[in-house]
Amino acid sequence: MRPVEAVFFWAAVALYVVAFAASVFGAVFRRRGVESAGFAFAVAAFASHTVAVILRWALAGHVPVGNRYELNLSGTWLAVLVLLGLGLAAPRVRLVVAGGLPPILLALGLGVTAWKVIAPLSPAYDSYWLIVHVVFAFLSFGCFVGSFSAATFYLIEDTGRRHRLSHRLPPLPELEEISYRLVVAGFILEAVMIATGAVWANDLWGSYWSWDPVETWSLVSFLVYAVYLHLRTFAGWRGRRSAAVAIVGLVFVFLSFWGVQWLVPTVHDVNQF
Amino acid sequence: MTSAWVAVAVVLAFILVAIAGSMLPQATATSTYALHQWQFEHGWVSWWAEPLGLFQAFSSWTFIAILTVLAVNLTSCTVDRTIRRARAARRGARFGVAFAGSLVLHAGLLVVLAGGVVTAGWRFDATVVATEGQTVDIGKGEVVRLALGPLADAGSTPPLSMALDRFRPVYEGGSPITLDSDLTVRGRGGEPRDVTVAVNRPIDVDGWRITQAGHGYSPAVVVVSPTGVVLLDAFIALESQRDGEEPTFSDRAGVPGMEGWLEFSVLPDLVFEGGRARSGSVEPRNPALLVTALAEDDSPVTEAVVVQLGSEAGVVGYNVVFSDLKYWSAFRVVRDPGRWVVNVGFMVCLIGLLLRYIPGYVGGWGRSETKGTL
Repeated sequence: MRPVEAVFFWAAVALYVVAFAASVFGAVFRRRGVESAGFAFAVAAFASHTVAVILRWALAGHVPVGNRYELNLSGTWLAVLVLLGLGLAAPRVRLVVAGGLPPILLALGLGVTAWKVIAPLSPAYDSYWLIVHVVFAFLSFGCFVGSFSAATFYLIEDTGRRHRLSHRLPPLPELEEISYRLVVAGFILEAVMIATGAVWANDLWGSYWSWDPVETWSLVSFLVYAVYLHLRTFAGWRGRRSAAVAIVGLVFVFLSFWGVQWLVPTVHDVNQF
Repeated sequence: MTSAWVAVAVVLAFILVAIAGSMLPQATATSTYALHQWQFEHGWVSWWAEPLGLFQAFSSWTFIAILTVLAVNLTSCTVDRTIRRARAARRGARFGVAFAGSLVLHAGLLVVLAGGVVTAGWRFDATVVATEGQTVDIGKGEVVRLALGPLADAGSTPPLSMALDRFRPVYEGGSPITLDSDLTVRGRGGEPRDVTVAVNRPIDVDGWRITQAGHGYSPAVVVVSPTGVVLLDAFIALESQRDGEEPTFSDRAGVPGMEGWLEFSVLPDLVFEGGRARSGSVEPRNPALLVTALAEDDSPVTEAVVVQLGSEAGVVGYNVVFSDLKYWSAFRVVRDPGRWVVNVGFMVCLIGLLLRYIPGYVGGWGRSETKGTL
């Protein structure tokens, strides 16, 4: 990572941390100004994040998806875009947006600890399908992070007694609905991600599905959300049970995006050509 | 079978088998020795995983049974709910876009499953390797790996021969940015056809899809015995292996009349670091051959030599000449009749998903759905 990139990358990380802390602090201690500043910090962090992505793109000379650091940098940018879009569309749920920042920070941390050297784009990555695949993957990640955050706040809110966050959170049914709708959006986007990945794999490897661990875990995380939707629709799972499944879902998404390739060899890790 | 609970149970079972299949070493991707070694070291896992077929998870009876139940459940749920909804519609209830979307989505899933069955049953999948200047004839069985679906016609081997005229990698900063193989392909008619296959850019010949699947180095090696007899004079296609970020190219060869082995490694960009020879990149800027003598029990004999292109050196009394360096290129030749079925299934699924969920979004936030819709 070049020094100029590092400045904007770490500024973004610091501002995301401040945004989360300010939002939670403002909500807990009922400081409306601090809480509002939290969202402003998130926007500032996103601006710095945007510059870091553009710089990487310019320095590398290709879309920054060539290694794990670049994938995480660009991917989390898309995920934050989803969260900020939610915060702008529905200002009442900005605490939910702040709650999505810790998973984003974790993903950025996993990226910055990986291989960061600028290198030419590998021939395997020279495909428009890759861009489509990655964009849908991380847009779905953004939705699932938002759903996770709403579900977490649901569980906090649903303790049966009023607490310091209650006045800043939407009512429980609305929190539940937000979580559900974000799961639906993420589910559709992940379906596109899997379909485009299969089309790309057929061009790249001559096979649309190889049961590679990353492929398998993407399907597994997709199916976990399919179970969520079926339980909600048929068994009437709402509230705490539904929130718990949404939280578990993000764990599977993290495992499929970042966990599996550290545990077992996968063709998604390095270029095999 | 028409219960959604069965669907949930089957999907959970699918998830468990898929996780096991991705975490346990698979017979299809691991050598028999390595698999048995792993099973010996993890006896408590093998005890329950072996009977369930989880070391070949995605072709095991467990997995096939789960997929079968899933397909039956999907079909019966879809038919059952359609009949019920149609009866309700006759009494004046709305059929509904979301319900139609759900039907389309589940029908799409069935099409994807059907495509998977067609792929598994009728697929022809061969891997061929050719060194520059070499011709391989798939019709004569010159393949390094062949996977035929159990229902594929055993005589369906393509009358296809491929001559690798040239492999053209383009490097930038020592890393490849394009890997193109110029081929002369002779298909059914026998007419030669010049084509270029590149990574992400497969070609189709007579319905067979040819995909670039790998590349490496083929050094021309001559080994002469201490008595002056030529024991080996050939191009050796070295296996491409990964050791960290950069690939390495090495393989061992048995030399007639010699005890043990000679291991050959190409160092495409020879540099010396702390007195040790290594490759600075994968680009052939300064090619050299590292020759290591191995005893029969695979332990390295003390002697190893570095031979630069066009020169020779001695190792354990044998003279090794490194006279030329070419590339080899690997290709996957596939005929998969299930591919189009799966593609259609994906499209149907996506249309179904949009029909199923978009109307709910348009309705605005805070509107709850009715329990019990498909």
